[in-house]
Amino acid sequence: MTNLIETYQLSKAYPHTTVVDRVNLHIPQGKIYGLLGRNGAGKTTLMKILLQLVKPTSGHFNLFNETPKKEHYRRIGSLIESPGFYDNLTAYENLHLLQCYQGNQDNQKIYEALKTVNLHHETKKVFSDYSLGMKQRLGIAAAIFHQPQLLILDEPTNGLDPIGISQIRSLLVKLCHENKMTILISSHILSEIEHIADIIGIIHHGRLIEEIPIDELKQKQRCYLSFDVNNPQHALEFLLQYEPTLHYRLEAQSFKLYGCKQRSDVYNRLLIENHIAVHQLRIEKEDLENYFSDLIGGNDIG
Amino acid sequence: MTLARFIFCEWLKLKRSKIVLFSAVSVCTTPFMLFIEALQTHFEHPEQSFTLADIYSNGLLYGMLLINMMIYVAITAYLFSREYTQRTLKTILPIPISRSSFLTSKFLVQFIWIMILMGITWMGIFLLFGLYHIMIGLDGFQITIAFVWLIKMLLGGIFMFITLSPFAYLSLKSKGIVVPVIVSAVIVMGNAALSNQDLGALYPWTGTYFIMMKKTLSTNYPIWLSLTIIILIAMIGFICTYTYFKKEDLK
Repeated sequence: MTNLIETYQLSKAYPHTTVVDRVNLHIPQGKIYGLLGRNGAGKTTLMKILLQLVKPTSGHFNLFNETPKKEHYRRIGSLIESPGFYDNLTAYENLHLLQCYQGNQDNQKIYEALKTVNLHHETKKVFSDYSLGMKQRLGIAAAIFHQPQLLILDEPTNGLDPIGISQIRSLLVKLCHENKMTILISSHILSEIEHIADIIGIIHHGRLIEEIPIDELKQKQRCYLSFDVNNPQHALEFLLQYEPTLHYRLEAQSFKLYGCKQRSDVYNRLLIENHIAVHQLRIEKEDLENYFSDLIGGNDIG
Repeated sequence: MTLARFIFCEWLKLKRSKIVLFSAVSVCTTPFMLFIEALQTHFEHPEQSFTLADIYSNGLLYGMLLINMMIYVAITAYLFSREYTQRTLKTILPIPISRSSFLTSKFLVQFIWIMILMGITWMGIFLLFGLYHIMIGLDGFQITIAFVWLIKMLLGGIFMFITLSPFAYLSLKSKGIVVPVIVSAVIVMGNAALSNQDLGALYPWTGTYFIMMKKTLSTNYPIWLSLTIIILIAMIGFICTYTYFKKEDLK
């Protein structure tokens, strides 16, 4: 499969910090690529490099299988962080202005894009009077109104209500499947992209630490035994005496044991025989959020 | 063709901008001040006479050194910094457009805007002193004289445009309107202090006025030195603006 974006050891360093660190990104044509990382992980800078808003310190990248050229950017739509438009202009006027810069004149395209994001009725209101959600929707309209082949969206659902988020998700899936658009979307919330992305790239401290198809990622979800007991610390210590190599996670009212679901009866019996009451024993699958936080080793606030 | 399109885009951006009306009204301050001053002189010292050329000469002084100078800095700062304050560069630059052409279109709009405002100042003087001429009478009130001064004022506008280039750089660098406006206040203070001094010929923002009014000849400094300083300041401003904007990483 052809990659629409490929980066090679792409880095961006400022005097005291490296924001993007030797990133090798592969974004296949016709797929939704979710770039996942905590706040400050380097997602926005990476996207800005791809859009030539920031110059890389080292490394390079290809767009549409070639060295980036001006023509390639005509086939890209983008939204970086919060949308930037002229406060004194309406949605239509802002898009008309962008069209002028592109050298095009097609009112129908503007109308269709505004209709897609449900802003076509706002004919009088200027951008400064828009709510956060409306601004974000206009940003998405600006990214798609020239029908690009590649969309680069940095946290596009910021500021949207749950219905708006769901609508944008559906729109992106539709654009990808029906219009064969390739989409690079970033987020710091896994649940926001795990339902739409075909591939997830996890970035942390500027480094791309994993690039994995979502199906493969789901297969990695580990099973575990969850024990609800009165004193999980004590119960766990007891089991560790019996089997010191156990993989576990201790929580407030329970503990989890990984990779041993076939031995649930053994551990349950051991606890009960030693007068440790087990209120509940469940076999569960780890969610992707846990996988993500384990991968970036993060319990600290991001 | 691209540049013409970009200039059109710059004009589109000014739709509903209050600064357009505000700048047009503000440059009328010069004609009003001159009108009131003329009325006051007429009633307090009726023996003193002045001509339309004297009025335009004073108008050029107020315009180039004081009032219009501050207004032009404000519009320069607005034109160049609004892309940062409204965070529009990340929407426009990936279109893609040439950063140099984008900046050139801004300079050209700034130039046209300055010329229009100079024209408004000229027209304001002509209309108000036309009224004065009807009410009281004014020596040398002739359209031919007024047109001679229109050309002088437009030339003054060109000089002002080139010496405003450092303010474009300051607007980009500070990403706002505050720093250039503060610096302009300092420059205007300098203008006020040096407008009657020989040293004014070497101060770029009064030097332009001295050249326009042929005052440089009466100072101890050669005109080429004054011109060199003005061109140097303009070049530094333009080069810094283009270099900074072309190399800048958008944060």
